[in-house]
Amino acid sequence: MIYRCLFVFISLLTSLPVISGEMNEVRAKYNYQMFCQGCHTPKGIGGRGVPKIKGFIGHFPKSQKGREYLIRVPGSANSVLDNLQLAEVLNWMIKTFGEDSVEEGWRPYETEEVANYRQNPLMEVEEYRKALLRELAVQE
Amino acid sequence: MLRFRTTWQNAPVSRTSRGHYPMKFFDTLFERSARNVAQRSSRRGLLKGLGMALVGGASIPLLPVARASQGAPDRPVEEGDPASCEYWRYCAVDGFLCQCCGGTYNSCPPGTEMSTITWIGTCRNPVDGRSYVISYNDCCGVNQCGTCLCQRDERDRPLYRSDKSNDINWCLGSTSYVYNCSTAIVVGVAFEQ
Repeated sequence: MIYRCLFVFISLLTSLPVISGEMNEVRAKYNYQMFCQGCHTPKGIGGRGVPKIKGFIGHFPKSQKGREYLIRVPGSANSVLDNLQLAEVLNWMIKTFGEDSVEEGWRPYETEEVANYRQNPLMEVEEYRKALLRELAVQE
Repeated sequence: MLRFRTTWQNAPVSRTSRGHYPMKFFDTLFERSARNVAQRSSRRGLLKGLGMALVGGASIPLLPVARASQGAPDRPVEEGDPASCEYWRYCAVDGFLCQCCGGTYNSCPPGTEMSTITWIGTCRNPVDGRSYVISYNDCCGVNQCGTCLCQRDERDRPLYRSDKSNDINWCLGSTSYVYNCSTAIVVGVAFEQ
């Protein structure tokens, strides 16, 4: 009986991403590689002038302003990806690189809200980001 | 219990010349374990377990995780000469091939540094017909290599699409901005839309 329960539980667990939404992990990873990785690096470490994602990106969705920020930065807002795939790749990045920075129970991006936020791309990013991080009380 | 013992004590085959029963220990052991199993399990239980294992095992490939892990290998089966501009990975190269400059198609020559920021595209591997994601990491720090100039530029985009333009000096992310040569590293399999 225990084994049966365990089996059902594991089956449910592995099929969860499919049930919970629009995440196509293979497509998301490909989009990250094609449109983000060139600067953000394969492991999200970043580099000269390129902000770090690894262990950090999860801080942003903690506030509404931060949640909008990740979509309003040039790389997101001006990307060639459509709203669904942009939401998907951001969710994939938070899940893959967020590590401890991700708040428990964070709400993945939805297509409609991404469509909304990217209407207001940020023209100036660096100062905006610094101010945002002060508001979020996190340090890089 | 008694009936069992009588049976093997009467059997002349198991008696040795010294009159010992060297198999006695094993006999007892197996008898006990067999009886234990018999008392604790049923034939239907065995069938149930086997059935569950069979159905469970067969359904694993139906799970999304198992399906996602299928597909082309990360290291493609390939052919061609990495020192030739015709080599399949170089479909969007614009520069000198590191293979001719003391490095290889995926490593930098000694004394140079691989850029962390790169431009990324896809190339179709003629051997398996699949497209792979290629990262064109530049090697930086020493003067231009100057041999094996290769300019294929397939799907190169103008500078206003900077992430898809190979006219950019991708050594911008390195300690030195001086360009030496280009590598072509397979970083994944392309997603077929």
